[in-house]
Amino acid sequence: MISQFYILSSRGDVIIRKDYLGDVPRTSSETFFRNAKFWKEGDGEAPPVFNVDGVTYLHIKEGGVQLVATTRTNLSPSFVLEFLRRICTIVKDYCGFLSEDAIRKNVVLIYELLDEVVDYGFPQSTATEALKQFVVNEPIVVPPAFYQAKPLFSLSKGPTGVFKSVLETSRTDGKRRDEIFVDVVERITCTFNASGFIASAQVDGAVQIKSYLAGNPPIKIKLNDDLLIGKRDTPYGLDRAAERGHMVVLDDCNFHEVANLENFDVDRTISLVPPDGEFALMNYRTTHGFKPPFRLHATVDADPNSEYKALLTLRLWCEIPAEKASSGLEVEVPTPRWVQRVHCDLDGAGGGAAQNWDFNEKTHLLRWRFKRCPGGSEFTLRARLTLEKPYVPSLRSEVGPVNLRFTIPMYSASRIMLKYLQILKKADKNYNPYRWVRYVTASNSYTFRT
Amino acid sequence: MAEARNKPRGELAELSAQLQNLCTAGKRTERELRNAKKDVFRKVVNYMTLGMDMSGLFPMMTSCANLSADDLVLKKMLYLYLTHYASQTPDLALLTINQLQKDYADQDPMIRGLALRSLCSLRVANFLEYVVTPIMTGLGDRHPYVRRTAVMGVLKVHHIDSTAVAQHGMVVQVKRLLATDTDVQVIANCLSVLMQVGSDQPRALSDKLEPPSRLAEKALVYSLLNRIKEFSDWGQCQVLQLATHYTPTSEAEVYDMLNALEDRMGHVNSAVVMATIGVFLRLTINMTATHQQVLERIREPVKTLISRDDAPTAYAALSHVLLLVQRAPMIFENDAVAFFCRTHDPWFVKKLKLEILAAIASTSNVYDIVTELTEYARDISPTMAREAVRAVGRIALTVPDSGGIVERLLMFLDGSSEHLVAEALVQLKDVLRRYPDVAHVCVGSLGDLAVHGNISEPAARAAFVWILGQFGGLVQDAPYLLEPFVDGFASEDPSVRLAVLTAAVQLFFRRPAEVKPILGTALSAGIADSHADVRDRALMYYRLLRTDAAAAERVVAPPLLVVPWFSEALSPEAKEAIFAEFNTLSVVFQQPAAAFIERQPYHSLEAEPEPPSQAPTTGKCADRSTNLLADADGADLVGVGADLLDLDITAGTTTGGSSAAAVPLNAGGIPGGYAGQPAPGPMAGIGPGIPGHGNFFVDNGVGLGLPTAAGPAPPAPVPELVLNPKARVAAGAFQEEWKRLTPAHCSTLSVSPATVAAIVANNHRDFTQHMTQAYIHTIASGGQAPSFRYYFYGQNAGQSAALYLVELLLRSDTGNMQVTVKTADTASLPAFLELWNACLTGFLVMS
Repeated sequence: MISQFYILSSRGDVIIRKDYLGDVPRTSSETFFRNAKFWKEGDGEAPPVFNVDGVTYLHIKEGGVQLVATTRTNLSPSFVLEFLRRICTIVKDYCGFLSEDAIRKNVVLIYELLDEVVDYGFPQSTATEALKQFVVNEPIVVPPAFYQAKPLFSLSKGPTGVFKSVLETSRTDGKRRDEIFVDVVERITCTFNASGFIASAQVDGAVQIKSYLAGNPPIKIKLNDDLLIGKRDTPYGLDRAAERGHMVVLDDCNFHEVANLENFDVDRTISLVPPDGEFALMNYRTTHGFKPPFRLHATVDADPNSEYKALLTLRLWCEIPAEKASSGLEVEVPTPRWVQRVHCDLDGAGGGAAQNWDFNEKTHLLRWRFKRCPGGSEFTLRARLTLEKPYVPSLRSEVGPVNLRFTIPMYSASRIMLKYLQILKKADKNYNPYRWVRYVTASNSYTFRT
Repeated sequence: MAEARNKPRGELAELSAQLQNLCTAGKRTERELRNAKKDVFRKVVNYMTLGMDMSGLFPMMTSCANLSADDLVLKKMLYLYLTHYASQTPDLALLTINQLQKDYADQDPMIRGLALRSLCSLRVANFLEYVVTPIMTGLGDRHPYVRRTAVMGVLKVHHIDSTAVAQHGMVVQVKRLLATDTDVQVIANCLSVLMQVGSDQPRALSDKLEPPSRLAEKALVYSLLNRIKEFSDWGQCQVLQLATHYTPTSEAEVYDMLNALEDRMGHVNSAVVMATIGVFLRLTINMTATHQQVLERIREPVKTLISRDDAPTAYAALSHVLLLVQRAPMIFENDAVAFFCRTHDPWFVKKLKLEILAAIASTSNVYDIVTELTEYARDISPTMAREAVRAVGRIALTVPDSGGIVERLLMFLDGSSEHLVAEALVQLKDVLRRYPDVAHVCVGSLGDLAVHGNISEPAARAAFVWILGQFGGLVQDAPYLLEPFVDGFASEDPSVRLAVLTAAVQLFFRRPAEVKPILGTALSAGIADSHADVRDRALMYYRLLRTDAAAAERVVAPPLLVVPWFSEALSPEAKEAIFAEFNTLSVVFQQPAAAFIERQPYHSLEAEPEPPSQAPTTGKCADRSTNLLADADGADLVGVGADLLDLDITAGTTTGGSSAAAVPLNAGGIPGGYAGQPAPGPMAGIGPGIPGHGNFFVDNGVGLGLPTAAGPAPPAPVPELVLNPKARVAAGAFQEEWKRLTPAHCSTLSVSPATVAAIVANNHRDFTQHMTQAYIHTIASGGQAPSFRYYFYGQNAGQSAALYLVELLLRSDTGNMQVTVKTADTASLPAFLELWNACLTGFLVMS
């Protein structure tokens, strides 16, 4: 089983350390850090699992810290990595947030939790609410420093923006605020070929719930009526209505243990007793009926005035409904090494949208950034490239592929919807906790080939 | 670091004073006092985590906490502190046993459990007597929390003293709990403990079956599988692991189990899904049709796992996909798109995806895959781009319809980036070995590449030269392309030099007139070369050409033998072994468990004193990294060797009956590593192979009329001794030499117990690795306390190539170290002794 567990800061300091089996030297944290920091293969990032001198190190990174488990046995890698992930969630649930600062402030609480979560290297109870009865330390909730600065750029990681410990729900001093967050989080993977057609597209989504409801009342969630789930509903292939895109079709999905799917096949409702803390009620994946939120067209032409110049034109269309907007958009254009300098002119039919550009002469990356990009708008960037050698037509295929990064709040690319969210607590009619239903779609890999 | 080390002394004194102060209430209220205590305790825990030694606070900590015994926060912190330092200060820890035992009798099950867990985690062997009774009563406690803690306690005791567990019949108790308990966590813990206890001592039991499979009885497996949903994710994994050890008696049973576990495939936790897949594959391994259905069934869940946002778990899943597609590529044949890289995938995920794409490529999907890979070749990261080209090369080898793919490879040659051209050349070489027919398409553009000036990578240069040699007939200006390589012969990498020699000879037979001068230059440069393999090959070609040019042509430049398939990195046995270990680290490392698992006794390291200062640890680390480097070098060597062998066989075996021709090639190529340094003069008598070698060398030296670098004159004794870094002596040869020679030098030395410990530490590896720094290699090490034995050897890197054999006997009880050195070359003995002593003293000083 797990021989040791530790949490390292980004500088390699040990913040939390537990030794279970005593068959791995204490210096292993240094061995780990040195190897992970100066990894020789690839781009220098250490793979999540590696072995040094008979000791296997499994690690994940989150919130600027690394969670590491060491072992000398032949374990299941998925098991250990999922378990580390689970520890992250527990820390988040109890401390409100996962960061070096939050961990340092709650060292004793985290040790206390770890004592219950792991005994002698074996996972014990890891359910957030089961742990509550064992916890006697008070959490110190530290909202992240950057939260004010850029609220939305990390939204793809789940229901963030809620930095609250689950222990809040047991408060009796009247300051308690019962609320539940249901987030539909989707990530788009889409590749356009050089002619602008979609070569491949996939949406990976999850319904994330973060519950702060005292007494854990049951809830009921209803999804779209026109939802079809691949093999579950249509074992013999899709019918024409689905093919034409009238239905929301999911290729595959899985549900959390708590989901009661008795009525799901009848009326698309899921009833559940939400456990405390954050969890994914449902994960799904679809390749159907996808409308790309952005389109882009790139051209590269010779400059009639100078042999050592070329003109790059990027036209970008934001095709989401006009009442929505992408918050934060970044267009990344790699250029070949023989492009020396770039100068861009920006002009937008959408007007007013704060946009800027920069060119990194080391990495040869041209970046075009938007603070906000409203639906239905169109933008153009004209770049004049200064070349080291005379223009050749092959430059066209050496510019790109163009990558987009974006986050669109209140938009779901798969068109999956939460029709309602009911809290079924019959005892008290006045019980009306806050219910937050949010959607967010972010790019995972959104690439235009050239 | 020194500053940080000095700091706690001040902190320690301060904390100690604070704790002392807090032992008496003073004017504070109870509440203030507790809060003050908590603050101090928190500080202590913080320093403890930082690795500072806080064990000095033991008495103050305990009395402070005991004075507010009902405060749970303090108690928990105290126990955390206790379990951390108890093994260092067992005498003081003994004082707390009382309190722990008192807590163990508490009303609250939480406190009982806490006390029991802490009691079992003290890791002091002498305390067992205090631990056994609580565990035994804990196993029968009415609260599941205490029971499950007690079950884990059994394993803790087992690791400290397994006889105690047997004596008290704990395992029987745990087995009973496993069958009867109602709490799933208790059952899961029982399962973990029994599987561990079983796998720790497989040979102690007379039964032939491995213990986990003995545990997996039908009734138990069925009852657990029926309740599997009640278990936590981790418990489910444990149950599934047990199920993999179960052998169903009928096919109907298999179907029952498959149906029962079907919905586990849709679990959110990838650990459960992977464990389920493991069970499915294991159950159906002998039922071909069902196995196929299972492979079909796992496709969608696996695709969901790998498209998650979580790179580490996706990586683990992808490693397993790679294993599966290597066995059965058709599973994912139609899902190539699922393995296309995403822009922000980390490199290790991309690399696995490329390997999977290369493995699943078939005539039906090859166009899509290769088109996609061509896009990746434009990746900003050069390593990724190269991987993409390599994947295209691999696909070209495996998918028969190679026409279009080869054209893609050729497209990379046109590119402007050096790393792509280099990789494409290396791949092209392999493609040509597999499909020589495509040569006329490929070689046309080679002339424009200007490889000599533009590509610096040895592997690519060697590949280019190889192509010139093999297909020189098709390349118009092949001799002129080869010429610069011959002119700069000495500055090339050995692998390129070898390739140049072969290519020059091959080309000579195809275009004698143009190549003759080049060949002459190449051979004379080769014979004067300092690298043994290069020299041997040059000499061999030279002799062949002199003796019989026609035979030489048959040997060196026969029609190219098509390589029907390329051997893979792993043997089929190794692959089977890895598959048998599905859902373990073996799959990620692509090695059977035996290759990377090193068991260490539990808690052995905890008993060791903490390193007194930072210096020894860093020293050790440096050792390790050099060792890693050495390993990498070694692997390279093997790679080059294998390559050579491949080439030579290709050249040799088509000569019909004269398969004997291959023999001298091999003999020259492989053991040449050390036998290739002939020992003229006084040393000529050693070893059976060397005299012949020497003669052969002299013959040629004379025959060629070259300035003889190693003429018959004995070399002047070198004052400074340099040992051969790559010396290799087989154990048998060592023994023979050891028996044959008489001791040339004996000495005894007395060392301190600490030094003995340092030498023996880490399975002798620190010590032997240290000696390797001076190229004194270890052939054997080991022994039982109090007597240890080590055998070392070194080989003179100079002309004499003399061996130095060393025996080191170490008595840990008397601290007596006896060194015996044997060598035939007594002249250089003092120099060797000096080196030996310097290196040994270096280690003794360091420890």
